[in-house]
Amino acid sequence: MKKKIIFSVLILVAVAVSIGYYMFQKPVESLRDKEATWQGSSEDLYDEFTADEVAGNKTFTGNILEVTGTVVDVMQNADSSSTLILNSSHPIFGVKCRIDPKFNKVETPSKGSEVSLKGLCTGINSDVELNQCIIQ
Amino acid sequence: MKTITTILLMAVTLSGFAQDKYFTRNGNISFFSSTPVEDIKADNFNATAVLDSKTGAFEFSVLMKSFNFKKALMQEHFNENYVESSKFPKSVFKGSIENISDVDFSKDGEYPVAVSGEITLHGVTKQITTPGVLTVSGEKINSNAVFKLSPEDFDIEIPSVVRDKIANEIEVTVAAELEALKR
Repeated sequence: MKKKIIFSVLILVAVAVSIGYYMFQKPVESLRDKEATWQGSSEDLYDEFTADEVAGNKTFTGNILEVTGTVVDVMQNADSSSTLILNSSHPIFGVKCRIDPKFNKVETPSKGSEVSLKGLCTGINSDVELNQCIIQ
Repeated sequence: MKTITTILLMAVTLSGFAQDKYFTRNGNISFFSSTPVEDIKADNFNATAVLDSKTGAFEFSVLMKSFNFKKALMQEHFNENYVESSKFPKSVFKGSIENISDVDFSKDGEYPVAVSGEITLHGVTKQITTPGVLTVSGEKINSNAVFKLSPEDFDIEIPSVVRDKIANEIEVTVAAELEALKR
């Protein structure tokens, strides 16, 4: 009886440790199957965020947004990812979206094209920033 | 980043003013913590930077939530427990290149520079100085620097349970390609 108890406890500990290890090692997940909490145009997102940054941080930052807009610039980043700038009412700034090929199977859109993408809003730094973007 | 926005707006509205300014919005800022227990690396590929080639004024800013980690849990802990990115969303460096007159922006080449200024992180502002290199190639300027920051200096508390997993000094690497701002 005592042996059985010790054995069960050992198994439980082993399972707990492996779950913990698995959780700890888990890579950053794709947003593909996650729901967006806001949908709209890059122009509206930029205007709403810049109108009131404090309120904008509450509404957008940390949330998944689905944004449509025109690509006004495409940049190659230091890794294999690229960054798109989507249009806004501002002459320079807009919505900056980082596209990581590890989450996307389609090619990066070119300048001038219309896109619809889903990304995690990380805040505003002159541009409104979206990370881990998935091109729809 | 109000200041960068203002500088750039001035640059596009006043003609002749723009040619001295170099700009990027996808600079790479990474940090690396190395201990015998674990190496941790995170990258931000969307840093914004402005360099004034005349005065040497140099400014960087990054969103803390835009740092990419390999492990989801590390990214979560970094944002929620360490840098508290919801409370302090941005980190900013404001400073200057002290020997800007040594850099010939019309001649391609590598120029060693001395950078000094103030870095604000986790709501704490500290003075830093670091050597760096500016590489001029045509209308592009590559800026590179490596320096060390200590989490303690920025009031970032690291729980004792993970203390041996996080280095006392974090190595920060800046690599940004700036382009001449054109009208």
